Amino acid sequence: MDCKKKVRNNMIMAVIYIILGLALIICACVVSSKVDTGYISSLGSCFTILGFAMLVKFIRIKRDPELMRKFEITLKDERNRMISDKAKVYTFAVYSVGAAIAVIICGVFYMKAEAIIIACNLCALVLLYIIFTVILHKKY
Amino acid sequence: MNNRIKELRKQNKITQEALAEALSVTRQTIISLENGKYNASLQLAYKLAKFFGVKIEDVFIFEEE
Repeated sequence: MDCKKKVRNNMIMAVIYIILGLALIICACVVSSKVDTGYISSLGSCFTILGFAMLVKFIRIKRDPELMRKFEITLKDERNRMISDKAKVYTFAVYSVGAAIAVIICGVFYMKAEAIIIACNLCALVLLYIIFTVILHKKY
Repeated sequence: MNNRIKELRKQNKITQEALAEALSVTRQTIISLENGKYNASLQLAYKLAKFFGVKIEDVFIFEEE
């Protein structure tokens, strides 16, 4: 993907985070008299702060050609890509094992609903893995 | 896979930063390549050989396991 396009997409994402965060804060303020909304406003604050931080970072990158060049190198660097891919592989492996253990533990403690949710999640993940493996085998 | 990147770089009196800049990679990639922690892709291997003006086999030493 073109670097400028990537910066633009990230800026759009930052604006979405800010809007989502502000919406959550407003929702929390509106219904605060009826229910406990502490966690909703906290989540909203996190989204807003994250959005602003991302926006400032990418505006700086967009305005400064030197920063843009460094960002492009970091983005396209093959070692960085390899590290990112490996991290995803490890995440998938650890999550799969962790979820399988969680299903067993939930089963032991008669937490049937939780066990089903985690098991469905794991099945969906494995199914997606199989689908993408087939697609990539056909592609390459 | 061993390589002579450090040797060639020093022969040509080039810093890691300058080499990284010329190849459009990060300095960490050059450090990892020199330490043998990371093997370059074919594309980067070609770029390295072209940069030093040598053949790929002069930069990378293939050792059969």
